[in-house]
Amino acid sequence: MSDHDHAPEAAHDDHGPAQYVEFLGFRMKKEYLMVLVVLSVLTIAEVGITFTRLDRKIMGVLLVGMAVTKASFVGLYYMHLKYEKKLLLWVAFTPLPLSAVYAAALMLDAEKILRGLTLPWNLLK
Amino acid sequence: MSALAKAQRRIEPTFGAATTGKVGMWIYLVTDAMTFAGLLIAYGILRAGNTQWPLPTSVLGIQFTAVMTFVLIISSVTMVQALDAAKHGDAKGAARWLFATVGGGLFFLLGQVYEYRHLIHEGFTLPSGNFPATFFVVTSFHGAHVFTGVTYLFIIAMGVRKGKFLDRGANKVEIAGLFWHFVDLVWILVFTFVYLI
Repeated sequence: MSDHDHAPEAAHDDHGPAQYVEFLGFRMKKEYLMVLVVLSVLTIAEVGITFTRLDRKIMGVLLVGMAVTKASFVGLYYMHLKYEKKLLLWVAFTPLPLSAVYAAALMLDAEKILRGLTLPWNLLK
Repeated sequence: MSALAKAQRRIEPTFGAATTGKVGMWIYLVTDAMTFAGLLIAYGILRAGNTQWPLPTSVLGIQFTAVMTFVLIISSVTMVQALDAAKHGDAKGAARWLFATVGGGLFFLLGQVYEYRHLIHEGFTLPSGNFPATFFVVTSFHGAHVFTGVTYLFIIAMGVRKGKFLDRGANKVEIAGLFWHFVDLVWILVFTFVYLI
């Protein structure tokens, strides 16, 4: 049973009115349940895809896409970034493209040092 | 100074209603993400430079790790449930959900120990190659975060059980939750890059 059944069906929190649903006997916010379903389905799909005979490059792109989608759902809904002020979103996401630049620079450097290094963007050719 | 004035001092107006503690945790998480990014980039470079790199799915137990991943995802759900209960002033419910989250984290850690023992028994050891070396460094670094999160949440849960940490919109519970969700988020990426691709 729920731990706080006394709360009304559509309670207000920091982010406005919240819709609640019953799931396996637990009272959950509708969006939390929705995210749980998305994460579960994508995890099953990720594992399932590795057992297929799909081309490794296509598989890699699909797996990265699914992982980024899952991570985004966790960040936006469970870490509440969706409801934060835009400045906090900038704090959280600005380093991401910077780390991509960092990775690209390192790979270009490593290409000259390591023999047989295949850069990720060459894999897609 | 009045209680209201003290509370207002703890809110960082530049970031809306976010408290200074919450903004501080976000800044810490961003720097921590950079550390993980560095490790994953190193993994990627070493892998790309090695034509003999084994297919991870042929070496690692994917189904077992998928269960661990699912438990970590569930623990994120129990964490948001704990915060929701705490925000409603339900100390007993919040503590129960927090202990469930701690349980999920402990299950993950025990799973990791079992996985390491199995792999080491199979000869998959730290000095046996670049793949095992990077695998153990990345996953154990994440494991250290899970251990920290479990300890952090356990302390918060004990406090919540006694009626503490529920003031100011359960701010301390929310900050602890941010750390835990980050641990889950990072594992989603580690699972894909190290285990699946």
